[in-house]
Amino acid sequence: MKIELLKSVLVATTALALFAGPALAQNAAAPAATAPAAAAPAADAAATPAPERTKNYVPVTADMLANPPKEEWLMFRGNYNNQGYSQLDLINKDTVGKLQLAWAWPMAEAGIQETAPLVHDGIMFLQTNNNIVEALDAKTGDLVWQYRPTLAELPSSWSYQINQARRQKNSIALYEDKIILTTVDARIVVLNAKDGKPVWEKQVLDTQKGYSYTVGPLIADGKIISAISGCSIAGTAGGCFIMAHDINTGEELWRFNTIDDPENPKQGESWGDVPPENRWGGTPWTTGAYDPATKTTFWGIGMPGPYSELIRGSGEGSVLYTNSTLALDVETGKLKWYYQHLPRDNWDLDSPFERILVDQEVDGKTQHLLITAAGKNGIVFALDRDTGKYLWHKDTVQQNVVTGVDADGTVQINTDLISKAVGEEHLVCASVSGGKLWMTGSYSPLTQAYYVPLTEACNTVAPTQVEFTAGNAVGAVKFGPRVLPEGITDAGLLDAVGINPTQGDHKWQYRSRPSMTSSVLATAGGLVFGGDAARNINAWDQETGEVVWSQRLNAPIGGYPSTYEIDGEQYLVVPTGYSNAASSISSAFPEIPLPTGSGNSIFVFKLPKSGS
Amino acid sequence: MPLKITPLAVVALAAALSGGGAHAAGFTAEQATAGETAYNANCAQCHGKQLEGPDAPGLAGSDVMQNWATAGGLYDFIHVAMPPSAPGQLGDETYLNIIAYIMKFNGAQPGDEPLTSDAAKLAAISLPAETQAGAAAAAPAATATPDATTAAAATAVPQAFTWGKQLPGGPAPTDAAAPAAATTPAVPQAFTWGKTLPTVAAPAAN
Repeated sequence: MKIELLKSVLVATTALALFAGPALAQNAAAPAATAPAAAAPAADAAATPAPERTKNYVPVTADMLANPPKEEWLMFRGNYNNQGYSQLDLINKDTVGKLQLAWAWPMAEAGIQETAPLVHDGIMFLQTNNNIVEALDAKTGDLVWQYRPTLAELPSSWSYQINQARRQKNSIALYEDKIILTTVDARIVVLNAKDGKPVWEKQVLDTQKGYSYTVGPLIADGKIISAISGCSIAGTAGGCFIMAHDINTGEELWRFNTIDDPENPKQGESWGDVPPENRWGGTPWTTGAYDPATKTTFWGIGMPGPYSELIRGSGEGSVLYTNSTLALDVETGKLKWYYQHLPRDNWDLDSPFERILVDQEVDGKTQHLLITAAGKNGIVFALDRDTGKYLWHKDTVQQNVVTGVDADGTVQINTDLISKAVGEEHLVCASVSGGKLWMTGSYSPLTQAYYVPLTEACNTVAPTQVEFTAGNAVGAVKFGPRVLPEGITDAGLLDAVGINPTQGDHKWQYRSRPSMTSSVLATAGGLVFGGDAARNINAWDQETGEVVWSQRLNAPIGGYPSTYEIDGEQYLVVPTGYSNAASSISSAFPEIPLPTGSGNSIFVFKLPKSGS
Repeated sequence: MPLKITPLAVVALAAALSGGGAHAAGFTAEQATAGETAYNANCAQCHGKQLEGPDAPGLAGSDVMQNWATAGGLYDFIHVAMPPSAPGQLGDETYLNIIAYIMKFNGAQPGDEPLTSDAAKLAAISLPAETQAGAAAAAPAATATPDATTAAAATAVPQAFTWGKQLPGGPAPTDAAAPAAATTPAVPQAFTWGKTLPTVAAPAAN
């Protein structure tokens, strides 16, 4: 009885916070406590100033999303195919050495920094931790407006949820004259792109159970496609979802549960005796790709919880759809196919990372590939994205978990590393921090190579028997510190994997003492940009792996470097800041001490004006 | 299968573990005091003055204690990896003091025997047992009711399918029902704490 009473109090509190949200939202460029701009007649423009800079903001159309103008960066990885590739080439192997700082900006919030700035119509939209969004003039660096949400409060003892949810891992989305924001307290908030004021918002799932959004949405087929996080927090048992909402009304159109699919008996059987209400994980924590030709959206799915099958109770089951790629019909949310990159995970080796769509002409026929360094073990896979058929895989970093892949695509694991007793410890490579992590690779059509930022690391894993508490995780393992694999002295690896429909090859591998800490950007200038824990943003030659430009900044390079062009000048954006990818393995390069300040910032470079 | 919600018998259990008396957790009060200073200088910026995070994982709470399992688990990790700006460079004495402080903050009681870097000794110090027993010993009043409202609210979550079962290498089921209530340092409670009080009719569960 007491529990129920308390639950209703929590619900009431949440509802209150929900109502308070938009009303308390602040707007830096406009005075507080103004009426919504849309409601103000034109004559009162001075009273409710929609910023001059965005008065004639050009709406983002569905056509633009399908074929993004090369001067802009409209979505998470620049394009529905998630390639992270820009067609701009003014900054190239010959000119990159002349890059100069155009402007810089400190982010509005500290904490883990994993942001992907978007650029449209000369405005940069920058989101930071705790869902603060700022619009900046992309040419001058002037602030146009700022949106600060009021977020639901959580008890301080819910420390795992607070720490995890605090991350805004990647992006927001642009559509028409709106910005679509997914929040750490599990809401979708739609802002007016002209002034940053909320247009509508919706509480999608219950943040008091543990749900949060840590990845940005995908706008496809007139829908907001979003994926929830927090599915390894105790209260979220039984459900982890990819969802579609109507872009105008917020009405939920479909949801797909990644750990409970009654339409596929094999999925349930793969959890053994464990019922849905004792299943966790399956978090799709990287924004998916979209193929408009087949109206299919592709998402990577994370690990199962508890991490160890001993504690999980799932026996030798493969625990679907954890560590899988899912291909979903964007109109209905129905599963078209799945492929599991790591069955029977016992080590928190998530496989949710970027799914990249690549078309290659071979003998006059277009091959539709999906390539991905799917999981923390760093193995690159190629699939036929129309059927889900396995094509090939290629190891990158040292790993001892996957022993091989059968011709039919069945992944074989090293069962010696599965703990059979509480406290039984194994050294597992890659580590829980990667290997591969959230930092995404880029595919360059110029070289037909996939550039993957990676870390060489191992850690011990031993199951523990834990009573779960609210707001905390269900992992139930003890991890040892991240250490270099035996015989390796460089933590950092940028692996250029040549891609074709029949195999992958190491085109080159660039190794460095410090770990890679940012996503990478490939451009038509023949360059790959990315950065490391030593605060260096580098440009590599896509062909050779030679570093052709390097600049040391204020903090580990983070987030997603991107590029845009205004008035005939190409700009390069480099986010920096506090990084788990740096701190988890810093003992591997003690000669390069990390800063203790968060430093979360963006730096914007461009070439000097010709003739100057 | 029903949802596995474990009603908490926490405190009674913890009291049983502690034998009802004062409990010495294998560190001294001096170590914990020195550890507090060292923690605030080297760790608090990310892990929080109250060990709550949020810029790095929290270090307070029964989950945290159960996951690190032993003082050795915590030592193995932090004396290699922490703090990220000077990993493994604080010196053994400081790392041990910080562990003493984290244990004390989580409720464990200091004793006469100091914490040392002897691997076998560190591995023998159970973090959940010591912190629960210490907290229970310090707050006998809280032992009255297992289902006190805050405790229930904090723990009314689904548990692992194997929760409460005997697993290889795990504690016997009764011990496995290890406690979660004393996640915060014990504080004085109201006179009526633990008693059944009149209550308005509970709304229907949603």
